[in-house]
Amino acid sequence: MTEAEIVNFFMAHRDRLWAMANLILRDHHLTEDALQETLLTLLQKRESYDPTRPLLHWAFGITRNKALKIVDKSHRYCLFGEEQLHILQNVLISDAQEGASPDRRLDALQHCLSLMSPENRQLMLQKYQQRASIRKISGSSGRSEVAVSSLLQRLRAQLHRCIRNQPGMAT
Amino acid sequence: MKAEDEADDLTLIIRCLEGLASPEEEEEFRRRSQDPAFLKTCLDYQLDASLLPRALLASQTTIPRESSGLSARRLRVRRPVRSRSSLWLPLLAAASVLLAAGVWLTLRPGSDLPQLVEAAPGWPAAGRSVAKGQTYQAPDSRSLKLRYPDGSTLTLAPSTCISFESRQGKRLRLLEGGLEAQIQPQAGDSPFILETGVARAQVIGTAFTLQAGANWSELKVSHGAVLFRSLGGKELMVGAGEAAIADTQEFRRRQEQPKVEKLGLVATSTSKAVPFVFKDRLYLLLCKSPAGYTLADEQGRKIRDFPQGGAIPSVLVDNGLVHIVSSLWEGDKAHQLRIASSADLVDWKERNLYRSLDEGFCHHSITKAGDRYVICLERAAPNFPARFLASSDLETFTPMPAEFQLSPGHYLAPHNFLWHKGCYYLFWIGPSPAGAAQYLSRSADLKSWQGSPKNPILQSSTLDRLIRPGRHFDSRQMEPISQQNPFDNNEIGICEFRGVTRIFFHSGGNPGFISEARYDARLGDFLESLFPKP
Repeated sequence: MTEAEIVNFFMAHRDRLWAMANLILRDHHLTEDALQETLLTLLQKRESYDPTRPLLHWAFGITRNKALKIVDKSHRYCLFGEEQLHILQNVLISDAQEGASPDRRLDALQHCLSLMSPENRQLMLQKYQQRASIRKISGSSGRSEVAVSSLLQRLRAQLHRCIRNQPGMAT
Repeated sequence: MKAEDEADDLTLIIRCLEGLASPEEEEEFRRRSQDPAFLKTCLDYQLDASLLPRALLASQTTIPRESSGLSARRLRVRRPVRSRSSLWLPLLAAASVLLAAGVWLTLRPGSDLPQLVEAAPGWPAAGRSVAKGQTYQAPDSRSLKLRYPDGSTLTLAPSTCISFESRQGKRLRLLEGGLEAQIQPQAGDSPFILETGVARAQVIGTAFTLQAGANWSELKVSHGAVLFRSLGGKELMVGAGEAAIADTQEFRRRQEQPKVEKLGLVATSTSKAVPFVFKDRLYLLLCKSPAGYTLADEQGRKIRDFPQGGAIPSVLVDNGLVHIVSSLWEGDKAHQLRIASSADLVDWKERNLYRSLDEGFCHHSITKAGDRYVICLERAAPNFPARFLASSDLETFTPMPAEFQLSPGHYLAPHNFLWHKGCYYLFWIGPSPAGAAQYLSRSADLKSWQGSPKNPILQSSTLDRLIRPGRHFDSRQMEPISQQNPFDNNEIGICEFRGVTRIFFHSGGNPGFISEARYDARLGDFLESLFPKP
């Protein structure tokens, strides 16, 4: 495989690989590190890759191992056992193989965000797009840190329920 | 499952995956995760988390729909009629093919244009996006920072010329100059692309610098990876710590640079810093005025001034003595070298060392090579070439014959001279698209010279203006630095202290400022790493 083919493959499945790594790490920055390392490993080992092996399994396996290595290195812990990680990985791979497009979910997500009040959407933007800390958001919004944290939890729950209620998104 | 149970599960998942849970809640999470339905909810929640940044960014562009008076109810009714992404879904496969062919298509206009952080003449006002299809030039006197809505930033070197392509997407062309980029991870269908006259960099989400002239480009990646593609279609994946160059003749990965860690700004209003080690302490000679220099400790605190002792010193520690060689200037060049020697840095004995009878010189540097002492003089002649003086006793220096020289026919300005394992190493100033950079050549006989394949070995960056932790400068001291061109890199001082190579380099104009860097190994290792064995 050429470097470009690897990069295109990686970018096509980046969202799912990110989800896998973040389930293990529960930290945005460490997850980004795990993905960078995954990509570099894919590139470094592309010449020794056995094309008879499923590429998706290979990529998810590398991502999982990289994330677990970072868990060890950073003295964190993973909430899932080996069996649960295996199930999660298989679900993600099946979705990818079936061609389920993350764009459908993205579309639903955008729609549900549009239903939020501008203030709440701004709060979500600060937390999940700009990666601001709860303390910083608290400072800029005039709410206490506890209030910001609770509100964000409520908004995420509301968002999740809204997405699930969109056509074709029920689990 | 009852609605209340579902709500409880969701709350538990959010608290645990967001890192807010108590140990008891985490224990409950582990117990519940035996249930596949619970795991699926975790996965959906996490997929949303991976998509949220993009969705939020896109939602910023849709806010006007609401502010124009449409209620949520109307939006809900309207949406099934047209979903922007779903309409494009059938085209995504085709778009990816076009992308591979180098043609750019994006579905998200509005999030792909940066804004200026600080106003500059000829640019849109701070807070307003640049215009597509326009060419802009950074001011000659300072760098310019641009920020994209997703948090990605570009720092343009002074005078850098750049255009934002009229096609949609984060795509721009570096026409001349240099830039540093910190790019946020980009969506799979919308990579960040920078083009130069001879190459294209496709960015995955990383930090790098890209410099370009009319017929060449150089890419250096500090984090992550960048896909670098020549106009001829050759591709290189350039990873962290790697560099690649492209010009009309070649397209190749440049050998990995030694890992030099930049530490930050350590001295203001200083044109040169010369470090040396004496009795297990690191000292600095700081040039703060055209005549004279200051002896300082490692922290830059003054020990004593040498107000009349000559200018632009070099130093040699030999046989328990510190020898400072300095030059006496007449107008724009020097004709005489003096030497001050001390066994305790308190009592100094000074004397004349050498008088030039020809065109004179500018900088100089002294080293000990085996059993003799050698001084490199930067001749006050066109292109500032190098010639050499030698002495067997440090008392009398005589010019070496004319064949012992380095005069390559381009600007040289040698200013630091070392000897290591039978080779002379000479630091000189070479071209950099945004100013000047440090180059290194070496020779065993001072007649035939070899340039380092890793040249330029050190370049300034905007990071050099950040104050080194533990140092303090007030706003009065920092003000001139913010106005100076940070990309010039004019002088280097280097020594080994406790097994680590310490590097002090000058940036900016005159007097400019000094920043520090370190190479975590011995000086000899550093020099040898710049001339790798084939």
